[in-house]
Amino acid sequence: MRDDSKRWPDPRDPSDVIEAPGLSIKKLHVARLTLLSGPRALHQTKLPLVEWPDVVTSDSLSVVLRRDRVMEVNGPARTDGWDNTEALAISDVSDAYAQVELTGENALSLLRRGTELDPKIPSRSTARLCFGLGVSLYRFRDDTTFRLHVASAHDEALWHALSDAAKHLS
Amino acid sequence: MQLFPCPFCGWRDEREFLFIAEAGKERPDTTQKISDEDWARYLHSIRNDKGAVREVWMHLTCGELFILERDSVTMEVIGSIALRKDAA
Amino acid sequence: MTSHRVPGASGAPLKFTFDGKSYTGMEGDTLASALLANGVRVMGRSFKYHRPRGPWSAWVDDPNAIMTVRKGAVELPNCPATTTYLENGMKAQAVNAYPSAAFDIKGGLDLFHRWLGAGFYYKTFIWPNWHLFEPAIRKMAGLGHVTDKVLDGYSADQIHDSCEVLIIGGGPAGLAAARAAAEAGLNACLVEDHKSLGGGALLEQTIEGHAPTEWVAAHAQAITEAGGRIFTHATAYGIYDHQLVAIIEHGSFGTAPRLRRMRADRIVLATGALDRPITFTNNDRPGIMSVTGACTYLAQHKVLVGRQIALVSNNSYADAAEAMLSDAGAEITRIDPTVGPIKAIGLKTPVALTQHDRTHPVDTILASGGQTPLVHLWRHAGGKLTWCDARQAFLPDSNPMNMVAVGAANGTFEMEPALEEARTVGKGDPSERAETQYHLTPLWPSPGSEGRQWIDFQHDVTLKDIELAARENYVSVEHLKRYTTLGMASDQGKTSNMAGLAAMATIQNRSIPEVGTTTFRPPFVPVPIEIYHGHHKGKHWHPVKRLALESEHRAAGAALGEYGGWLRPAWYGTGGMAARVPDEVRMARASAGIFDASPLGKIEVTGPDAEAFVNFIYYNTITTLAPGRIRYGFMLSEGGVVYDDGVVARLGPERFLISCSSSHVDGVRTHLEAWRQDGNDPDRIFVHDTTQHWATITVTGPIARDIMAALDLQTDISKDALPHMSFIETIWQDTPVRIARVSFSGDLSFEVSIRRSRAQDLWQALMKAGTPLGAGSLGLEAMAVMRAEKGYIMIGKDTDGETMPHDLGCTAPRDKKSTAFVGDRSLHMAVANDPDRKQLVGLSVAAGDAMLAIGSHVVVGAIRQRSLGYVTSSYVSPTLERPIALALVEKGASRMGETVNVWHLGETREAVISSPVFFDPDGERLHA
Repeated sequence: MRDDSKRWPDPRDPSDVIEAPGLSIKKLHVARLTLLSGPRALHQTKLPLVEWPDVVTSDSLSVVLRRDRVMEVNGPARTDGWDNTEALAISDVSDAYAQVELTGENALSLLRRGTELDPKIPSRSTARLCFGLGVSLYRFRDDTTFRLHVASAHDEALWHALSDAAKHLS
Repeated sequence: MQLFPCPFCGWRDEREFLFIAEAGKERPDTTQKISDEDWARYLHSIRNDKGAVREVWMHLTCGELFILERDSVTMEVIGSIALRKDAA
Repeated sequence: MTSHRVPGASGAPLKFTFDGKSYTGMEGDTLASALLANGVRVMGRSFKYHRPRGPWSAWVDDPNAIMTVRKGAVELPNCPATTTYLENGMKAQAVNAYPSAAFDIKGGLDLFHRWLGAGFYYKTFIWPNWHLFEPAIRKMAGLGHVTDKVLDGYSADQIHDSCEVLIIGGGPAGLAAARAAAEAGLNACLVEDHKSLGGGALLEQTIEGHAPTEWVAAHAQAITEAGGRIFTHATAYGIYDHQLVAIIEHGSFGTAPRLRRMRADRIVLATGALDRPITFTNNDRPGIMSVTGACTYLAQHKVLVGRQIALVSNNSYADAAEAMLSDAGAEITRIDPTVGPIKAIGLKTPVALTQHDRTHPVDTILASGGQTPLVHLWRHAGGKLTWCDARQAFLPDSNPMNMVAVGAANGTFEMEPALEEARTVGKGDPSERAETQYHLTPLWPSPGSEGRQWIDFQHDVTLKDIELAARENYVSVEHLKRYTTLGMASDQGKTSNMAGLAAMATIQNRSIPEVGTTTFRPPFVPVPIEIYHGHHKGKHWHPVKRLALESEHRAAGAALGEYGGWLRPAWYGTGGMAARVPDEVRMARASAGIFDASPLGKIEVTGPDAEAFVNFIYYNTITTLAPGRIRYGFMLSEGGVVYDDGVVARLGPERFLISCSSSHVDGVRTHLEAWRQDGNDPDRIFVHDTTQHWATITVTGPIARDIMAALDLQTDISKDALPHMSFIETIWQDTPVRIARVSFSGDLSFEVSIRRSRAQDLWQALMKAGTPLGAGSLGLEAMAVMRAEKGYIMIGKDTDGETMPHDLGCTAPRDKKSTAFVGDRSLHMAVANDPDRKQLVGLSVAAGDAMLAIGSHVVVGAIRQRSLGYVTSSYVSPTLERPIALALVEKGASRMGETVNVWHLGETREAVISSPVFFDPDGERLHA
């Protein structure tokens, strides 16, 4: 086996930011992420449901992933497993994802380097590919701010793709 | 890139999708006797239609399995059919 | 100077060199226009015969003026001089010529043209052996040379975009259509490949009563004011499925272009038309150019291409050209090519043109055999063409996409009807193609003509080559193309396709539409490969997954390697793999090793039907698995072949945790989801991939329990409380942990899983406890050795595309499991019952001998050897101090103790077939 430790740079400092004209990207921390799956799951969360292109203003929300799955972000503590009364499968996935927030008038333009995205074309699921990586993507707070969840192991890859794309903004 | 319509998510980049199989093939009940020929046909035979086709695809980002109707010559997408109803 | 700049030109002066000589051009020039302005006509050499070449035209249809261009540290090969805008300090060199285009030492090749016709490679250099000649011929062939320098920062931006109407072409029709669309309130985009708009407008005296530049500027302003977008110096180079147009936005020389992936609801093609060449004797000389090309050089660059010009045309557009060129000071001789064959006289430049018995002294020949609409993009989109006899051209016909052609691209060559058509279409209304006033006398190549007459200028394909192809029966247009290479040069046949297929039509006595056209494919113009991949290159082609504990591993001096898509520690410390790996194995067998197993799959299957579902997915019986217990099993394909192995733990009555191979997590998840929704009730089964929420650290070795004791868990993990293949959930430092007794090493093993954010604390606690006891970090390579010592297979390494579970010794479910499972019926097909199937075995050689090479074949037979199977894993076992190997061998299980021959790269050795379990066959250490 070849030693590739020099081929890949050390993981970034979590406080790193990407800055470019009309764009700022930073890492975001969440307290809890919970997968809820079930035949009525979309109706079993008390948090605001977020689809595309909904703009959510609360830090606690439920992203819609499938017709029978949501992910509660900063939601209440739940017990993992099968809840037979509610017909809900529950899994804590708090550390399975890393989060980034993009803001600025060029944030949408940057995301368009990674995916064919249009606020005028709605989609019920926030899950999509962005720069070839699976993410959950939604609008937060205003028209120029976006949040993404990406699998933890792909955090570095996504950051690198975002910073490479940001170079084209100047 | 082509655009395919997931019954739940709507139109998305083809790279989010995975072809599963031609639609219409039913798995034989393997707890009953099945001839070698019937099983081989289940495993290996495909229609490979020229023109309108019905296929099973998965939208990988949301996991939805569905039927996609399209034209294998013109690449036109005719439509998609959900296998499941919406969450109640 | 024959070609020269005329008064009235303005632009900042730019200095450049060509083939080592210095020249001055001006802002707005292309390399071609700047050289013509300086009287330089010979700008290249043809591919095969090295005949001198000058630019045929002023834009993308030129096949001749190809140059390597250097500016500062940047050097790019194969730049077309007609589309490369001049920049100060450029150094251009003709490709395919040495030392210069003007004086090329290989120009003598032309003397041998009789032996170098189409297909000569297949005929002339066969005996004694083509391979003797091939290297020399390859050295002489090719255009340009790629430098091995890497351009820093050369990375193409790739952006998705969309609009309601995309207008391709910024000439009069395109501008009119774009304005109409924008003013109708549509989201419109206009794309033009020149730096400035106007196209054919600039060749007119007036347009709708205005000076062309004013007309163009007014339209551009109106478009932008109505909200439309205009992209100049951008080429729409391909149309793809579902209305996707690829647009390359060119930057300054040496900067990476941008790819704009434009999804358009409607596409308007205003791409114009080209002058086509006339096929006559010596028609390839520098100084023979297209009529439109010459007019463009004059209108756009104030360059008059010659002084005594023969204007040779079969169509009605010659009059306007004659007026324009003579106003600029040229002496024009009109020649009608339809009344008799013509011939150019002169070597590097024409000196005369002859027809019948008359000789006309000229220094330049401008030719137009008619207008060919540019329909490439129409064809990319799957649009059909129709042959128009009146225009002697293929025109856009029906199209499955939402696409319309306007202007010259649609055969509407006159300005007024073109503008009307464009405006109608721009708004979104239907339009019928109008009758045309344009007329021409059909003029196509005459097979059987004497003299050399060129069809493809870059690839040196002549009319005689087409006759040859016909004689040899390469008569289909696609065969004609490949056999002669006509249309395969960097211009992709823009000037040669029509003449070529018309010649074949004449030879075969078929009509031109019957012969048809070859397939048009993107890109319409040459583009750098960079545009296709952008950021996705090198190590970012397939980004590797990163561990939570990567910093720990780096701090411990780990060598990191890619394993199953993850970047993982291969071994730790200095001294290299050969020294460190055996040390780690010895350490782990003597005391313990601490191993990062985080990438292992942790897919939860939950719900009332979870048990039945998991039982269906697995080969092994799962229904009898009790909560808190773990079972090893195989997932098969429907063909009965082992797809993945792994362990499944039961967390509860309706909860299972599938721990599949690290490399197969995505595949297994997809496999589970597909079966869940197809043939099962998805309201009663749920698949949650929690793999990346959990980090997993394995403590393996005889003293593993002592290390675990340091965690001070409140739960009993003694041998009886937590036996091998069992599982508990407990708490460590207020954080939930899962502990599984699963072993990859064959020794006492604890797999401790904790949420990723606490992995570092757990790792440090275990290392702190283990180090004083002689334990340490354990890498992937050492773990692989220990697995092999126990005969623990790696899917895809010790199994191949045919291996079934009974080949690995796991036979009970095949014989006894009564419920259905994936792959079940395949396990009883004839091939599955074949007694000669390859089975997993061990192979031993004497201690001290070299280990067997992976891939060695176990062979039988004296004269013709037959392979019985091959070596899949091979190591020198530090534990046993001898070489061990795993192999798949026919009937292996019934050949224990047999000595066999093992063949590798011509050498044969002996080995003994043994059990694949070399170490602790009774599993005492496993169950400690």
